[in-house]
Amino acid sequence: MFIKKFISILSILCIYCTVDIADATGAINYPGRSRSSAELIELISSPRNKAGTFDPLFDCAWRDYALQYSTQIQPWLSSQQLAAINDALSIESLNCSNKEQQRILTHHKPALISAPLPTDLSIYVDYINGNDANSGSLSDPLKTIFAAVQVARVQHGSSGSTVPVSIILRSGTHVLNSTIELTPQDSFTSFQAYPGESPIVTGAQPLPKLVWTPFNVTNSTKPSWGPVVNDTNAVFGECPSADVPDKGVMSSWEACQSSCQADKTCTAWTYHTPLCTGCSGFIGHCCWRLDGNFPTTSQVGVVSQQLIGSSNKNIWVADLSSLPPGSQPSMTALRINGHRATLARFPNANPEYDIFPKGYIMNADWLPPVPGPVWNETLTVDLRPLGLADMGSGVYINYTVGIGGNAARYANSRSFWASRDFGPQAYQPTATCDRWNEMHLRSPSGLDTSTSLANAPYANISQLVVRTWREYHWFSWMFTVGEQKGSQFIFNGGGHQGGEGCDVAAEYYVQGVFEELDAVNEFFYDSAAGKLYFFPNITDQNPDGSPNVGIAEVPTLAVLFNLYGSEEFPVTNVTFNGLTITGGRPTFLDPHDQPSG
Amino acid sequence: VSFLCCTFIFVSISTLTHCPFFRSLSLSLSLSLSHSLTLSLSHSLTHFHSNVRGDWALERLGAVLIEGATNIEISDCHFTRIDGNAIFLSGYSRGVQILRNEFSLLGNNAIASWGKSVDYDGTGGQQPRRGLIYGNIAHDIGLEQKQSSFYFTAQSCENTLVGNIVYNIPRAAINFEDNFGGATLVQDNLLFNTCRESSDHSSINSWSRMPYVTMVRDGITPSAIPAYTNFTRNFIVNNYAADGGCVDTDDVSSLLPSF
Repeated sequence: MFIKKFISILSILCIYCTVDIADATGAINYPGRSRSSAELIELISSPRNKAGTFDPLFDCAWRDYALQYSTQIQPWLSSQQLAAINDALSIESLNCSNKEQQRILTHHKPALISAPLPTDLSIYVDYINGNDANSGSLSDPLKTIFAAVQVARVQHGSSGSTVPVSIILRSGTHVLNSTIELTPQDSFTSFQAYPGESPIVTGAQPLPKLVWTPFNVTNSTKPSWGPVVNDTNAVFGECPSADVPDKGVMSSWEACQSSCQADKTCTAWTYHTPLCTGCSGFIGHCCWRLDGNFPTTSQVGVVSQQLIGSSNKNIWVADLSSLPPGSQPSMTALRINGHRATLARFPNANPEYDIFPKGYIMNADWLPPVPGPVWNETLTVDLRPLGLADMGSGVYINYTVGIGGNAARYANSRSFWASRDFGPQAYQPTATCDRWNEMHLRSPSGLDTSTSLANAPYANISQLVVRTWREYHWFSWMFTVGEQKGSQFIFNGGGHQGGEGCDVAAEYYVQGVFEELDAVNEFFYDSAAGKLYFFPNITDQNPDGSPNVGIAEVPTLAVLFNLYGSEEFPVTNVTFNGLTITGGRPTFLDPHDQPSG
Repeated sequence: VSFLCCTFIFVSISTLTHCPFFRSLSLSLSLSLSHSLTLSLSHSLTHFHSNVRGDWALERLGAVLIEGATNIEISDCHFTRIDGNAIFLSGYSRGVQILRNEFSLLGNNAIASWGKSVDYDGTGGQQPRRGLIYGNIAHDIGLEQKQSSFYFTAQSCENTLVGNIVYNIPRAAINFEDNFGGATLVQDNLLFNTCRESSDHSSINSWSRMPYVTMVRDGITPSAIPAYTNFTRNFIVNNYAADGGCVDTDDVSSLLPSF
């Protein structure tokens, strides 16, 4: 049986491999790089393991072996960690018997990993019960890690700089008000959990106890539908499938609409009218979506509509204006009862578990880049004398960067993509990123929202971020918006998170505007008024619908521990063991540099 | 069974001849008596004249930020719900050991290892080198910046990544922006549910468009030719249709001739 299974695996692998390589050689330049949104969605969001595509024996076998292999390479895995791996291995699996998985899960006994023992010089830190005026002994602990580092320096001074000092953290959440700076004088220091305890170190600051009052609470359950959009197909390549059933031929889009809106499981519909020329076989067909997605593709003669949620509003507000002046946090990230709340967003999605295409607008009208110099100067060094050979393509013999110009978006103003080898000699506004003689650093200068954002323009755009994929999903860009001109957003920052650019971006969403606070788990902070708005999800709710928030924290630090020395004077022999480290703030708008390309 | 294995390797090895600096031995199946199967599947494409590239920029920030350090150990920790990078090795470091940690629900990379050089000249050694990334588990990361990985490396070399488990991420699990001086080993890692939001490149991806001069290859001679980096005996499943397969030695990392 085992051998049979094994041979089966081999044959499937061979087939799979062959198909992949054929794809590669079948394309002219670069396989897969020109996948459209619809193709991408088909690839990554529809079930890949369609019956007949993969051998179910193989599909189940690799998952079983992956689970087994996990316990072999990491015998210390906890039962919870192994169960989480098993869950991930079950995503989109065919109907596997879970017998083998259950055997592995049942028989796994985590190998013990012994924690380092405290050294003779130990300093105890208890954020809940300690006091920085204490001595730092087990019975007289300090409160903060910051104070413990100061005591450790004193001990190193008196006992010798290479004598190990242990900073032992007791249970509870240790809040860092500022980054712990560790320099060469902090060498030979360990930060470790008290044996058997699980201390947490966070860069998030707790908010004072929040008092919630209703802001917009309707207690209505009437569904709310978006506009009927013409020339838009929301089921392209997916109808019929389990989540996108074909409901057959109907007489009109109104009939399709009525059928969908009368059914509680239907979240969108698409109707193929006789005007559609590319809909052979689908004319008159009404397809539903049951999965909440709305991945639109432009197609003449196709009509679609999306359920955008219940009109039920459950928005509560807490007043933070009494915080001392200057201490009102900038709040673009928030933890409620330990999990991420979602900064008000459209389309709605939860970043902790929703993945593309959920929560994206598929089509956008981008404003072209602002013309400017590709570079101010370039540096190109032929490295053939140091061993590099010319591969015949005339490139890659040089170390090459452009400096300034379009590369000014990076903190160090340097980029391979603005270099002489790869940048054009002049800006060519008609080119798009599909033209491969036109690669350099470009990004759209704005966005026309008239076809996609019903609530724009927005009243307050100070926290608005447009978050988008670069075409072909090479990276994500984040743009800030400086002004709104009619239906246009004009970007004033961002676009520095990626490499090789493009005149346009791809699918996108917006975040950080009050008007989009309309779904569970979303929040918005009005810093001028000091008001925090929150739409609690079911787990954060009291029976009356009000938020039940035990703890709300604002991620504030980007760096919790900063070890900084030099080659001549390094920080050395520092250990972190057994700690949970959390609460780092978003850094995607911070200055970025571009590595080598 | 072993004959079948060998045949399978030889049939496919011809696709690997153009990636000399990322020596991929990952098309292998081995069966042990304990009924364990280690499986990995990869192929490397030869992209001659391919002028299309993907890459990204980074912020030198992380919850634990390390620059100018030696013999640092981060072990048995859980990095979770950090909106940026978890661990960032910047510039000079030697012997940073990252052992048995869990990384979950991160905004960006779990581990980024990014050195510095004077333009192309990396002989000064201002890079993370001789790090050990062993036995970590990373999942559900890249929530904010999709261009992120369990392990990102640029201008860094001579590192060892062994026995890590990575799943549920938007793009590559392990991303080599370049090979720099090379001599990195990637072995016995389990990578699945990768490239879930892009289907682009692969579980292990490399670019290496920019040449750097180091002395890693023979220890004494400044050279633009790095030492071999080896990807071997990894268990990789390309189950989200990534176009580069399991290991994508892209652009220069597939272009340079053999030495």
